[in-house]
This record gives sequence, C-alpha cells and structure tokens, in this order.
Amino acid sequence: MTYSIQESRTDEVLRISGLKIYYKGDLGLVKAVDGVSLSINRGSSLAIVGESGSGKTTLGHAIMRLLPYNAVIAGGEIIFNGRNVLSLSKEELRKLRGYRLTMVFQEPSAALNPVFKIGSFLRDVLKKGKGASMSESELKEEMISLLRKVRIPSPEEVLNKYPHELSGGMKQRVLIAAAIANGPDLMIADEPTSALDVSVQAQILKLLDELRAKMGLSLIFITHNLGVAAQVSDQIAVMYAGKIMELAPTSSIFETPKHPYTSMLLKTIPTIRRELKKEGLAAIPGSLPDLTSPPPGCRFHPRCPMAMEDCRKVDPEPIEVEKGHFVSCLLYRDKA
Amino acid sequence: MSGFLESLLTPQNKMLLRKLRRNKNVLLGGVLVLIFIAIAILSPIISPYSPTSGNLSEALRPPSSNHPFGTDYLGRDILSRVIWGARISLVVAVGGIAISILSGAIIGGFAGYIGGAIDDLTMGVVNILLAFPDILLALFVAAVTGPGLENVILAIGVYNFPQFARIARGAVISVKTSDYVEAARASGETKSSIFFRYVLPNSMSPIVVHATLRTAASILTAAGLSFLGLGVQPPTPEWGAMISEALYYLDAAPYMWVFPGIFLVLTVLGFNLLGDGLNDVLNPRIKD
Amino acid sequence: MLLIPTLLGASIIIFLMIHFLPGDPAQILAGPDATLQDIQNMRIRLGLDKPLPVQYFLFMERLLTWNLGNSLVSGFPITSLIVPRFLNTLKLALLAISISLAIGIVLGIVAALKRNTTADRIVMIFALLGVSMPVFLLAVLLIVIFSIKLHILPATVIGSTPSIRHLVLPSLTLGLIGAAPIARMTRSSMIEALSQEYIKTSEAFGFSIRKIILVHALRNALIPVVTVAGLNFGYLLAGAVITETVFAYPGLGRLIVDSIFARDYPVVQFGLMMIVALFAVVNTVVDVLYALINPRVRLE
Repeated sequence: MTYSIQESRTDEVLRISGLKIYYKGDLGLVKAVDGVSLSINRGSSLAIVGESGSGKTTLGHAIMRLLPYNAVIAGGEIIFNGRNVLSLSKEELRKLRGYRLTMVFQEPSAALNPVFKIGSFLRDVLKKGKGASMSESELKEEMISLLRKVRIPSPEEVLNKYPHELSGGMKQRVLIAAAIANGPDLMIADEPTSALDVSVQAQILKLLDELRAKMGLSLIFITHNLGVAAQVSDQIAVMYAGKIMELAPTSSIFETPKHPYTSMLLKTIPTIRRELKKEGLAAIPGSLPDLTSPPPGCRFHPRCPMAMEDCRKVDPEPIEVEKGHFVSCLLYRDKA
Repeated sequence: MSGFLESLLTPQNKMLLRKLRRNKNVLLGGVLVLIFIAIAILSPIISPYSPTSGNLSEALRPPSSNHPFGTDYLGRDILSRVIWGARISLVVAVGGIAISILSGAIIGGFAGYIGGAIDDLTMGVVNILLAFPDILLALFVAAVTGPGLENVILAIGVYNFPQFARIARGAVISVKTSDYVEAARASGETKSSIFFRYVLPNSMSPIVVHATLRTAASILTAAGLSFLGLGVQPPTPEWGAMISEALYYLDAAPYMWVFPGIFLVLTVLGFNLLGDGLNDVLNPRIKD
Repeated sequence: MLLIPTLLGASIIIFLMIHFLPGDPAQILAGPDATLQDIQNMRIRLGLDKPLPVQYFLFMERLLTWNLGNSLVSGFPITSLIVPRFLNTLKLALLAISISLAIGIVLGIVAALKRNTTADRIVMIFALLGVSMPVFLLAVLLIVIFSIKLHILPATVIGSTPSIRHLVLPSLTLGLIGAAPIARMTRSSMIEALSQEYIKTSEAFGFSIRKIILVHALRNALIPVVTVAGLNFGYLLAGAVITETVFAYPGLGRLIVDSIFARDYPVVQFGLMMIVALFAVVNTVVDVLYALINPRVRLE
C-alpha cells in the first residue's frame, strides 16, 4: 500500500515501499523502521515528523544508504528516479550522492571538515557534478553565486575562511549551498535547524522554502517540531515507533488531524491561543516502546486514549480517508 | 588519615577494581610484573649459583643442564646473573621512581597549592630540566656523579622528577579550584582534612598510571646507562651491562645477550601493558 | 617566549657541571697531565678564581663566540671535534625520523582501517615491543642478522666519515623504535577522525573512499602525530647516544660518552649544550608547525 498525491508515477522522484530497517543491538534487533511506504513528487516538500526514536532519522539516512555498520535492511524498496537505491552498486551510489541526491545534517559545526577552507570543500562538491569541466575561475564564480543564493554576505571572503570562523547559521547555509550546488533532484534535511538559534532557524526555513520554489527542488524535511514542519512542507508524515501513523497535506494535518497521536502532538505545540485559553500543554503520557519487541497490534495503543480491544491485536494498514490523506488507525477501518 | 581511607573505599572505586580485574592489559601486564618482582625478591633463594663468581674453565658454555642459560666469558652462570639482574633493576627503578614521586609530588603539589611566584619559579626549574631530552638528563647526572648503583638511582630520580612535579601540580590546581573543595572549605574543613580526603585521592590516578609507565622507561634507561658503562659497575649483574659484555661474543655466545635481552623486554613490556591497562580503566575515553 | 630563559637555565646547569664534580675545577679542566703551573694558568684564563656569575658570563661568551678552546685529551680545537660529529648525528636523526614517520604512519593507518582484525593486533604488538625494547638490544639483533649472518651491512664504522652503508643499521634501529609511538598515535588519531561527523558529510557527498580516508580523515589525524613526532625527535637525539656507541658511529652522542669517560669535560659541556639547543629548536619548530596545520589554533 503506498501513499501518493497524484496517480502519475513519472512525476515521482522518490517512492519508498515497505521499508524495514533494523539495527543489531546488544539486546536484540531494534526495529527502527518497520514497514514504511511513501512517495514524493517533483517539486513538493514532505516533512517527516516524530519524537526521537520514531525512526525518522533512520529513514532519512536510509534513502542515501548512509546507515551505520550494524544496520540491516530487512525489506522494502527505495525507488529514486526510477531505480532502486538499495540495489545499486557502491560506485553507482557514490555517483548519485552529492549530485542528484543530497543531504543536510543537524550539527553544522560538526559537519564541516575543520582543516579545509570553505572554498576547498565547495570546489570538491562542484567537481562532482556541475563543475566537472569548469576552469578555476569559472568554479570560483559558480561558488560565489552559490553562496549568494543562500544569502551569505561577502561570499568571496567566506570562500577563504575555515569553518570555525563562521557562525552556526552561516555554516548551515554553506552546507545547504553544497547540497544544492549540483542541482539535485531530491534534498533530505535532517533536523537542519534544531541546533541553531530560533531567529536563525526562521531564516534558514525561509531560505529552504525559497530555494524549493525557485529551483523546483524536492525536499524531505525531518523534524520533531510540527510547527517547523508547517513552515516548509506541503505534506506531513507523522511517524511513531518505526511506522507512519498519518500522512496528509499540511493544512489537513493541522485542521483535521485524524490519528490520535497527531492530535496529541498538536496539543504539545505551545501557542498563544492556548495560553489565552488557559489550555495546558499536554504531555503525552507513557513512553516510547521498546523497539526490540514492539507492542503487538498498533504500536501506539499503550499510550492511546482511544485504544480499543482490537488495537491490541491488529496492526492497522493505512487507509485513505480523504483524497491524499492517509491514516493508520482502526478508528477509521470502516472508511476503507 | 581515616578520611583518606574512607574516600578510597567508595562504590565507584570498587567498580574500578572490578574493571581492573577484567582488563586484559592489566592482567597480562600485572602477571609479568609480579613475576619480575617475585624473581627480584627471591633471587638469593632461587639463584643456583653466585652471580659474581665464575669459573674460567667453564667459560662460554652453551646452555646445559648444569647451566640452563649457559655461562659467560668469565665462567659465571648466566641464569643466576639474570635472576639477580632482576633485583638490581627493581631496586634501581623503584628507588628512582620513588624519589621522583616523593620529590615531585611534594614540590609540585606545594607549588600548585601556593601558586604565585613560588609556583612560577618551580615551573621554571621544571621547564629547564625538560629542556634536556629524557635520557640525556640521566646521562648528565651520571656523568657528574660517576658510575655506581646509588648514582644510577639518583639519575633516574632526577630524570623522572619534572613530569611528576607537573602532574602533581596540575592535580592539586584542578582539585583546589573544584566546587566540592570550595564547599568543603566554606564549611570549615581543615586544610589537612581537605588534602587527605580530596586532593590526594584525585591526584592518585594520573600519578599511578604515569609511575607505571615511567618505571618501564626507567628500567630501559638504567639498562642503557649500565650498557654504556656509566651505571651499575661490574661485577654487579645488570641486564644492560650483561648485553654490553656480550658485544664481543655476539655470534659465538648468543646466550650471553639473548637471555638478559628477553627478560629485559618482558619486564618492560609488563610494566607498559600494566600502565596502558590502568590508563584505559582509570582515564576512560569515549570510544567509537 | 619561554625558549630563551629555558635555554639560559639549561646552560647554567651545564656550566655548573664542573663545579658539581668533586675536586678543584681548574685541576679538572687542566687535565690529567697538567703541572701546577698549567693548573694556575687555567685558573686565570677561565677566571676560575673569580665569582661564579663572572665565570658563567665567560662561559657564555666562549659559547656564543664559538671560541670553545681545546680538548683536554687530544688538544684539538673543540669546534673541529663537535661540528662534524654534530652533523653526523643530525644526518642519523633525520634519516631515523623519516623511517619512523614512514613506517609508523602507514602502520597506524592500516591498523585504524582494519580495526580489531589480526592486522591491527600485529601492529599494536609491534608498537608495544617498540616501546619495550631497549635500543641497544635492537641494535644487537640487527647486527647479528644483517652483519653477522647475512654479511650485507657493516656493523661498525671505521674512520670518521660514515658512508651511506654505515648509516643503514643505526638509522634503522632508531627508526624502528621511533615508529612505535607514531604508529600508536596515528592509529588512535585516525580512529578518532574517522568517527567524526564531517566524514559522514564526505560520504553523503559521494567522495571516493580513498579521498575520504587519505585526505579528509588523515589531514585531521596527522595533527597530533606531528607533535608526537617532534617529541620523538628529542628522544631520537638521546637514543642516538647509545646507538652511536654500539655502531661506533662518529656522532655527537658517542663523542659525549667517550668524553665523559675520558674526563674531557669541556667537550661534554659544549656537546650537551648543542644537543639541548637543537632539542629546543626542534620543539619550537614543532609548535609552529602545529599551529600551521591546525587552522583552529592559527588565529590565537
């Protein structure tokens, strides 16, 4: 069962089917991603939202096969531009990375190699794709124009600087510049703003949105913050314990959330309206399940206020309750 | 003083002991070191012959049932000399390190505690000593004092002193400025109590690790000095000196240098393993 | 800079050497064959009747004007003894450190990449042996293998100009022993570098494994290795003392040892002073080098 907004498959840049990723841990097999399916069309932006431990980071890393050595791909497919990433050779995968498929990570300070200048890094990235046959001066111009695209002031000077001479926000812009340098088909952003100041966060989010619009970039944005997700995405997938609970256009998620987990997540966003109405911040009771032996049936049932008898036995399949709005919850099984 | 013992018997320390027992380096190194110490202590008892008297008519015999390690150019039993050599090395290394720890800890610790001009002066002296590459410092002392066992001990003591002074000073300074010491001082604890309950236990682990590793280096240095002829004098059996004596007989009588060589390497190896293991356990780093 | 006062302090200690020795300094310096008149001349010439600070000043003057006087034993000017031998030792040390770096860095990288496999364990054992083996034992071993058994290399140097063949065994001895700490440091440093986030970035951008390891990671990993190598150079200079003795290599180390036995103290003093000065220079160079290759330190 797959999600998609439009039926046309040729417009799809990424389709994940039944992906299962487990980690070999000391205490057993950790089922970090246990049967995830989704797809993204060109030019659209999908946010994957979940608490830490929901599997969203694993999912994001898996698309580029950037998983640690103890990860096992236990099933499923990742079709990118018509080819299954999971069955590519190392060489083919390498060619794809940094060129058609790029990623931005959470900690900009740690992500840049401290002994190389920014210009040196960007040159290496460009040589992979766009700049393969450029001369030095062309490369330099290209790098400067890239840095301008991500709104870095004095780009010429920045090229000569080392990472530690830049602020967190600037570093992240550099990494975004590198990610868009070769005009990728898909960019994955894994919590790119979580390590930054709130004011800088807003700037980066705005930048990502602009780039998406200008370049027709497809974006997967991973975050734990629904509010942030709202600003950058036109679709949101809510993940819990390795499975997608709900996937819908952003507005639908906020206006008509179907899954109990989604509703509870929404209540945890502090807003002024709630302050005024004196609605308390609801913390979701209970804790994340042990992913080495997840609860039978629906993963969320131990914490779900609407849990029914069957929830303990049946793991719900995704159901399209409205056009483009999918839920995995037994509450809606009559609407299949 | 009882505060010191109390602060040692914490549950964390008991955990440490357990970890120590399980660490491979500590075990292997510990076994080698214990064997070495045992040989050194028991040498009068286990040595089959006298290490210094030899029978020239029996010179340069290869290993046999009478002389399991053979005899050297003066007819002395090599096994006995190797056994007694352990004792000499132990005395020199332990004696020297003891001197440097005591002097280093006292002077360095005091400098760290007092701070100010005395601290600067002390560190200046330490830096001057560190301007000499390791062994040359020992060589210098040996040159000035002349050969002989006691002088080697002094040389080892001097050449290890700067590092222990630094460590002690560093430990004292970091403890002095730490929160729990401030709290203790604020609540009126006496200086000696603070010293025994906080300063001493916390400075111990770097000193212990360093002492073990420096013992290894010191045994090598002492052997080197004796090899050159500047250390322990003949007929006293010392492993380095024995190898020096073997230089004319390298091919003819390899047993003259092979056996002391093996013992030397194994002993130093033991201390190095032990030191590494202690370092891993007492100063853990986050590994990948 | 701390360099100058420290060097001055060291020179004071070396200068005081004569006075630490038992006996009359003038007599010691005049040598074993001196007559009472010689001793008195020496006393006046070196100002040994003057107060210590003045003597020290005279000592430093001689050192800095390169007017070192003559050897007590051979009568030759000390400069003609020290300089060629110093150069020989320098040759030996440079060759040895090159060997140490070449072997140590390669082994360290291999061990880091093949972590916890047999190859790694072998490298670690080699490293452990390197720090546990005395220089003279390794020297003896190499002599036995290459000179005695295989007859391909000379064991000792005859004359005072060593040829290339004479350099092989001594530099190999020092080089192998020096390789051990470098291998260890490289290994742990590479492991640390490879576990950093920026390596994940490099992977995410699809750079080749060779580039990631040998450029992105190694460039970071080598930073602490430089410091270790620099320190090592100091121990190399010191270890050269023993190596030169075993191989009868005409270097400064052996000169110092021989002079100690011959009670040729001026040679000992000036020889030691040269090595200490070289050591200090090397340490300073290492500091500067470290600042150059570690961009984070550069601005400070």
